Amino acid sequence: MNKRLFRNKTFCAGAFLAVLVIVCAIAAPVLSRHDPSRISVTEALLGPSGNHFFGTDSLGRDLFSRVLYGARVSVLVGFVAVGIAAVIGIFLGALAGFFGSWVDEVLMRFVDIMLCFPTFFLILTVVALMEPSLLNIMVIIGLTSWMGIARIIRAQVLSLKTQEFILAARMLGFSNLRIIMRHLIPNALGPVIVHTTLSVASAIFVESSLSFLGIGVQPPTPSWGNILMEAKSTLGVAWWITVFPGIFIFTTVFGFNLMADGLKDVMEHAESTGR
Amino acid sequence: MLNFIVKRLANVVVLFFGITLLSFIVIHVAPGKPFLTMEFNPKMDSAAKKKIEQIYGLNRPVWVQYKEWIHRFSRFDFGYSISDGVAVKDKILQRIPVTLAINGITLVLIFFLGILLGVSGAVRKGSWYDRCATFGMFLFFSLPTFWVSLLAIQFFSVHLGWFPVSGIKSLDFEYFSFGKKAVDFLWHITLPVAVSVIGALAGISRYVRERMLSVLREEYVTFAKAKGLPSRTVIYEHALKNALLPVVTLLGLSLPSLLGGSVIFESIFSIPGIGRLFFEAVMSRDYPLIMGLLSISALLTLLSNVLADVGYLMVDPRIRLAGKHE
Repeated sequence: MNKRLFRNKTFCAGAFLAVLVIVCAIAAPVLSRHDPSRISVTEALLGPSGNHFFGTDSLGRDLFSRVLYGARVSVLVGFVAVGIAAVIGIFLGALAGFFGSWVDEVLMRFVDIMLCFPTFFLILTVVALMEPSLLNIMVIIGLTSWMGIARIIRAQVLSLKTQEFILAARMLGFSNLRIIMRHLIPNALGPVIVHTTLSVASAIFVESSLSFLGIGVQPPTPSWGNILMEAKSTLGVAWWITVFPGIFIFTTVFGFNLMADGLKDVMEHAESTGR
Repeated sequence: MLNFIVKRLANVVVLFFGITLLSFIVIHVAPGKPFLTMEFNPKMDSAAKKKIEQIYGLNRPVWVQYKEWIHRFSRFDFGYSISDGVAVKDKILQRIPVTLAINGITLVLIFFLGILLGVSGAVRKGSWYDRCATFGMFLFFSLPTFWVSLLAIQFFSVHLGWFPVSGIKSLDFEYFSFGKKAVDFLWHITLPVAVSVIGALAGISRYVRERMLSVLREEYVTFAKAKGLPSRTVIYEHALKNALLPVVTLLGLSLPSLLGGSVIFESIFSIPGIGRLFFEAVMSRDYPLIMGLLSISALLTLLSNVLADVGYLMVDPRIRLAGKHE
């Protein structure tokens, strides 16, 4: 399956873009030629040039460095938020599927409630009422995006738990916890991977939207969203401040979406041919 | 069928209580109080603060406050806004038409464009047209709405000057005739609607295409073709009807994300709708207003889901007739 994955063009193209952004995030201090927060009023609003690849913003800060450092925020939020969502979703989904009856009923009703929520409203409320720190943003995005994963895991566990190897595990006298953690969850993870990859993209979306509204990552820490918020006030004067951070958001999200699409193709193919 | 509707409505009530309880807890457990913004007012001493707390009942336990909120809600009374004392109901009613108009137009456009794109792609599966359309939709799917809005304003409003930069009416709106008012409104909301259509179209058209492809593989479609029916009839009369059913449900489910998105584009385009009202409410910690807006949008979402289900039921004779035989 690994071989087929790397032969899938869609997946590879997506992985290439995602890795590119991750490299930008990790190597930001090496790649950038200016301090992202150094203010230089004499160099305000310069267009792209050999010295400032992406130009400068209204305070004369180098936009290229700021966009590179912004990648750190986005990548971090994407992975941590989805990590939190995956842990909650996998755990609750497995519980609902394994125990069934009232546990299932209560948990799935809770999933319904969370799905009917205009999630962005909820995130806005919490972030605005708490301090808008990076940690809070990651946690709240994680807490509001686990429902899909829970549903998938539940369905998987429901079909897995009647199979013979689980019966065997029960006959060996393994505890419920061990059966869930060691036997059910590892086997149920496959279909979750596609969903998780898509969730990384949407978490990055949400973070940048929050920062764009001014209640996400706070200046002076650069994030793609808050750079675009500043771009709003220089609309029509400095196109580069609007264009470059947006291209980066788009590239990242596009990369993860492509990866998810490729993964889905490969998995469906593996399923239909019995791998 | 009646049975089904009653069951669904009962479900809605349960979900609604869950959503409002959750919102209530989130709002009231979060640190900080609504009059924090009044802290800098020198006339605010501790006695005045206590009085405000008492008026809004903020000094009582959360569950008592929730019970009272539910009690008032049953009479459609959402209380009064903390920031300016206007009734929350009036504030929402004043702002909601614009948001509903924009989202309604968006939903209709997504529905028709999504079907058009999805069906035309599925019918010509694998052709260059299908590949371009699929790839294009994939690109759209990855575009951040607020970035597209900024670019659209920059290009169409600032550079070309075709559309207004912000707002929903011209300065001399009051003096316009009715027809001109409508045109003016449509002219102002063109960009916001276009942007939100781009954001949501990709998902729907992909879904329609996949559904259509799986329906086209079914035997009754082959049979219809074998019978010698023209392919137009097969596609639009036989296949499309079946492919469309889940799309209706999907549209109902897309309302929460549309409402969430309205916070963003209403703030970019300065549209006085409930998205912006919600943002203002959250920023000023206006508890009654936040609760009112959250519950109204939850109610809208839940009702649109029920409507979608009932619509599904009315269109699909298999479910409708199965209900009758029971």
